[in-house]
Amino acid sequence: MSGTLWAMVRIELMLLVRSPAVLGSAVVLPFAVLLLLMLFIGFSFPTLEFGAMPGVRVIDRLLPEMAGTVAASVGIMVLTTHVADLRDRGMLRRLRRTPARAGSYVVAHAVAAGVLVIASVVLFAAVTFLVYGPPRSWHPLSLTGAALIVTYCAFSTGLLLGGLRMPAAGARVAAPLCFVVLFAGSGLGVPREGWKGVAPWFYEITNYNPLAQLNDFIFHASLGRLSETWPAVAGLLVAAVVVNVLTRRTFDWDGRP
Amino acid sequence: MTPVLDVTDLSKAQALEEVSFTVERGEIVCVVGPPGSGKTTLIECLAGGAEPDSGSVEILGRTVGPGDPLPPGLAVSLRDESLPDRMKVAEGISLFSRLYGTRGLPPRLVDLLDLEPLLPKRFKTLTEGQRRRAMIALALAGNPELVLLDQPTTGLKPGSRQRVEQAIVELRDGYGGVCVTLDDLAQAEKLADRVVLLRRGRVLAEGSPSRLIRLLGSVFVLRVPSHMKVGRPRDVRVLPYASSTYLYGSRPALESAIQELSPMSGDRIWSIRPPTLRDAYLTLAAVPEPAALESGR
Repeated sequence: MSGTLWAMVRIELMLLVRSPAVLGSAVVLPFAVLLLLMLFIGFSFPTLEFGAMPGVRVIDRLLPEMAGTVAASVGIMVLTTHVADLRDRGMLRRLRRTPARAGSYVVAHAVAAGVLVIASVVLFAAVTFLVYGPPRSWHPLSLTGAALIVTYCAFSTGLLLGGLRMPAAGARVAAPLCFVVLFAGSGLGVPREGWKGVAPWFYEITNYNPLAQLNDFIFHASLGRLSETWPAVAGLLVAAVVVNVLTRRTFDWDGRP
Repeated sequence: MTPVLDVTDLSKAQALEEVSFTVERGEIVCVVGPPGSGKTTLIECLAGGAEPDSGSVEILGRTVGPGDPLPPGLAVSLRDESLPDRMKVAEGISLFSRLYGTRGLPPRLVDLLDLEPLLPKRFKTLTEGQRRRAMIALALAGNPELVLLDQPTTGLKPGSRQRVEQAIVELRDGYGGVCVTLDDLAQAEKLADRVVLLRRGRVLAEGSPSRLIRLLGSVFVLRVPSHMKVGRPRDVRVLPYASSTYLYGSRPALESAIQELSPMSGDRIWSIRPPTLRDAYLTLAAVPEPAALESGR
């Protein structure tokens, strides 16, 4: 990594880590979801086994699910508000006046987002492994790769939203709203198969929710399998590339009419 | 010698009209005018933040058009720019030094801007004066040859203001050209090697402060509060403004005007003073031919 890029990544990470909202979205979120599920469903819930998948506990499903959720949260919620805030302060304009290329700024953000997601997943995995023990079978490399794919999709969306000519206050409303809709539609942290019997209409929604499809993909990747949702994930990857091209045209560095 | 900044016939609808001026190496040029005269728009056009309708800008020998990358030797500090609240000043300077490929700010500038105590502080905790000094420091982290500063001292306390002024002088002495927009004519008179007087987006006059003052001829100035009725004293030019009325003329002519004002002013002590850059601006804005003041026409 070149010195300039490393300097930008370091600063981005430092800024993100110093933000309570970022720590909440990346670090606290998975633990909060786990705690809420236990409070509502029961403290034995994480160790229950899936009927359809013997030997796979709810917590084994929740870990990859939370990896996807954190990636979406960092990519969409954190990145959108962060970019809008930097533009609002004229920091983007200032960065653009330097000899550094615009691409290195975007890459720095992507690397910082990736590091944040991986750090969060590692922490959540470490704690859950300590409490509930590791899964019988899991593939950390596949899990990491799948989580990075989801991070890329979410990052692309966040960069598009953050790059729109929108005041920072608008971004602070739009980005969390977008994430909450995605998270709610993905099954609210509950493995989506669980909704089949309780609320079939809700399960139907998860069939069309991009985050639910991505989470399914990560879950199966963590078991070393290819999810049935892979065509949807491939479609989302292509969409992310299209979004990147669109972002190149629409990204607003100045924030001026 | 090629100027470091050459602005030719720069126009932007409702803001600038055929503005032309140059900045040479080792010179401070102050673009001065009241709020709304087009100073900030001008700097934004030069910094690539706004697109001019016509005209050309040459920076450090390179013609810069809309969307073109700016030459690395240019530093810009705009008023409405800041850094994230959570970033420390030292981190900002270090980041921008890296981006410009320099070793950071010269120690002399750190001392002049009194940055040492600010380095560990986050931007959120800085006062307006400290923030402005830090932002100027960021602009200078790239070791620039030409510096554009938009109203760097407006609203600052005298201490911060003086530090910024010293830094500007240091830049001229050490680096190259400095173009500063100001709305304080007295400050421009003190600071500038050359002044560009801007009014309603047009250049009213350009030159050294002493040359612009000399345009008024050998007149003196008497300032009268606006509530006092002045009338039409002999051989004196009267320019009424909202806060004061200015009388321009020879010393004897102004002394006779004081005699006429005495019944209204009681024991008030009047002072006749030589003209300043502010007088030159006010006069040039009101009188097409300033030499006419000498005859009181």
